[in-house]
Amino acid sequence: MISFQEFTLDNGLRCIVHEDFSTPMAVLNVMYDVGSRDEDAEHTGFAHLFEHLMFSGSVNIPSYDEPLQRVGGENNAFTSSDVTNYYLSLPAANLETGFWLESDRMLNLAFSENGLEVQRKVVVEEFKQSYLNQPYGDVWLKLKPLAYQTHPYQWNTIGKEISHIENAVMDDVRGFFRKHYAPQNAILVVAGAVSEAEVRRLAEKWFGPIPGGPAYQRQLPTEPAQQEPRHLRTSAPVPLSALYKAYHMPARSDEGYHAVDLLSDVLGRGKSARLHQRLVKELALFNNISASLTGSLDPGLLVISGKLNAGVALEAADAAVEAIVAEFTAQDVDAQELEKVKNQAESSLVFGEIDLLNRALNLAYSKLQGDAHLVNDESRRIQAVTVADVRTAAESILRPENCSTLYYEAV
Amino acid sequence: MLDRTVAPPVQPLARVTLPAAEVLSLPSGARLHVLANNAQPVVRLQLVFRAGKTAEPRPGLASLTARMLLEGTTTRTARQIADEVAFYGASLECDAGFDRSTLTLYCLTRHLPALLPLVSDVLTNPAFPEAELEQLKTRTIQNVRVERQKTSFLASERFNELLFGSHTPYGQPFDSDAYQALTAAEAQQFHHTAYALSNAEIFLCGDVAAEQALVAHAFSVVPAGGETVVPVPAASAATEAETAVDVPSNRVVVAGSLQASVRMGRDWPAPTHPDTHRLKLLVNVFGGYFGSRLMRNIREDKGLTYGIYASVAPRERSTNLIIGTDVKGESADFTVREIEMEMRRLQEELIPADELETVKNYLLGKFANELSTVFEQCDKYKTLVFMNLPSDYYTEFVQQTEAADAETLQKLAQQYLTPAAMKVVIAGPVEGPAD
Repeated sequence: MISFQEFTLDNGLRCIVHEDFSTPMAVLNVMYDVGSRDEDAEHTGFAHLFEHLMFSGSVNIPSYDEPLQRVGGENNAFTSSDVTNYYLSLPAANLETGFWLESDRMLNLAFSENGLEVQRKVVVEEFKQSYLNQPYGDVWLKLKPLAYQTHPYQWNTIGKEISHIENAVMDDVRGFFRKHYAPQNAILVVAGAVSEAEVRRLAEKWFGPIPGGPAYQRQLPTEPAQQEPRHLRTSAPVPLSALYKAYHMPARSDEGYHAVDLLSDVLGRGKSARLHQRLVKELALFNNISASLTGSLDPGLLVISGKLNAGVALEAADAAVEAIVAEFTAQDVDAQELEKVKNQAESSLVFGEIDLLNRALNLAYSKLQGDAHLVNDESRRIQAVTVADVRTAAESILRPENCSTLYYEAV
Repeated sequence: MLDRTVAPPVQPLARVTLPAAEVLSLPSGARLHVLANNAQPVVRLQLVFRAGKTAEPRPGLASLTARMLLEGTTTRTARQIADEVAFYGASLECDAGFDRSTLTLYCLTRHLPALLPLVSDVLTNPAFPEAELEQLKTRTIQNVRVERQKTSFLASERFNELLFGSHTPYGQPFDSDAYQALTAAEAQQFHHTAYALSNAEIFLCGDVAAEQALVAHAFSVVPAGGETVVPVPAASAATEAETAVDVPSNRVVVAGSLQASVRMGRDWPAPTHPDTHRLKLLVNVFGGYFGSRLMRNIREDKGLTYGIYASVAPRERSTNLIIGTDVKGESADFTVREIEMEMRRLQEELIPADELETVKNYLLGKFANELSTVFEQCDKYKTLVFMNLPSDYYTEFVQQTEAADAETLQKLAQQYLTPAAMKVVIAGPVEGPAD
């Protein structure tokens, strides 16, 4: 149970305070309601490149990092297909420094040409380090466009290709800032050894004067229901062939989300899950195999991924996975199996609340979905899932015509 | 009117200290270290043995033995173990490092009583079934083949070889043939000697006030049949004198790679050394945080990398400095020269007062932040135990970091941050001139 209080500034900035005086630290989390799904198809990777530019100086403060480090703080940020999130931790006594820094870069950026030039190069190296220069690093670059043919989830947060990043110009940067980086498009969460009254005072002081405006209205194309199985075969100089199967599933806020979450756990969470037991241990077809969800705000994917043992054919491995998948539509899961994955989910929730920053992040994410109280409702929603719900979820999702299959062949 | 160009005043940082652990000597000879904190209803239980690479009689045996503990006991199959752990929403893993192996249980406090018999069983009665052993060996060898596709892995592996020697526990690369040849009997024998409860250091942390006695009881009795306690080998140096014959090349060519991985470093004073805290400060100025000399030069000025870091890696028998980065393919040699230039700057020029103040505060704030959870507190405490450090080590860290001056750091840079003393490894696309 995470306790919190919330208020909204006149300019539309939604603020949440979570007091925890068991630590001398405070965290400040600013979540902007913009991700790679909001990008233009010809300028992909931009939300993430922009995140880098948020550290290249704001209108009144030439360096973001140095003043924060000087007061004992540290920070980072991430971009996903749904959101861009900035967070910092610092000794609570210096909380105001965090407000000063975060509010200035929401107010306006320095738009340094040199900053843009350097960060374009840095992000290109990040693209190589994380996606192109790693075995299997390009899997998502291939799988997403196969599964999504209309919705912007078809490209990855890093971008479709390096040239989109290399070609970014300052006009794009300014336009993106005006459109997305405004108080009405953001959620501020402050947590730790801080009082609600003090946070309110500091929020009014530093964020209050930033002009608000009309909120960004998201109008993204809906991904049409997939009608037939999709297959893609690709090859790469890797030691082991790999298999990926992506099934369309409901959005994070959908009523049926948690049933799919638990279905995925029965299939492929850890060493006791069916895929591992049958395909790694009993049949020894796979080196490893698991299932997970993308968990996105728009309808997402349930993804089964595994690396094959040397000498196993992709077709045989795929058939073995499909046989296990078919069991879920043919019969109910065991009550004890469902109880097991509920216990695992419950455990994950509790362990997820240990870290202060994670609590702040979860509050922001819940608020973005419309209600910060959702953060305390997860457990109930997980426990409410029945054996019949899992069967229903399997019948609607684990259908061959709802699946995109990628054969990643070792050569 | 709000003046946004002026930073809010800096407030002094509150002094934080590591909470003291309670230490109990159990009848089995094991020591139980307890850090109680009821912020969340969770527990972490770790049993640590001198069963890492430095203790193994054959290469790979420590890792194989550790991982086989979860693969079946005399009364439970691998499947039953996995099911039982999962049913309680817990996690149970055993891994061997360079010096120690650690069996780790994470669970909700309320499930600890139900899980303790399982932990005890995998620890004392592993069966090393042949089928599981062969599968595990195959999977491990395949996984290393995948890792060896990465320039970062290849560079780190070669760096350790060059620094410590190819035939030492710290420097030896993974040997697939040797691993494949390991037998269940060898694992059984290694377990019998290296996992003696009498040598265990047990760490219990989290919401454990009520469960402490249960844990103490579970690991108090030496199992029937007794234990063969092998005397701990003397802490011989982990490094060996290299002969010209077996020094591997410092270049690993990976044709077609888009990036090159650079690893540089040298042996470094151990945490028990009187200058350890000042050296940590120096390494942080050099490459330990986002605003470091290396990060500003190689990333923020030249855009050659996503990141570059320098850090100290303390191990029980040897400590070393490591600088690591993945850079644009053709820029590796240039990057090495820039890294050396940054070392010389620290030797030749005093660190400006502003910069030094920033790094000190950053380090002290980070230290406070790292004590936020009981798991992190326990990790810091474990370092004291295994590196033989005094209980006031972290108090000294705070005081000496605050008191350090630029002149002393410059002298330390002259003494230790010497380009000529560094081993350099590059794994990447082009063959350059060997050093």
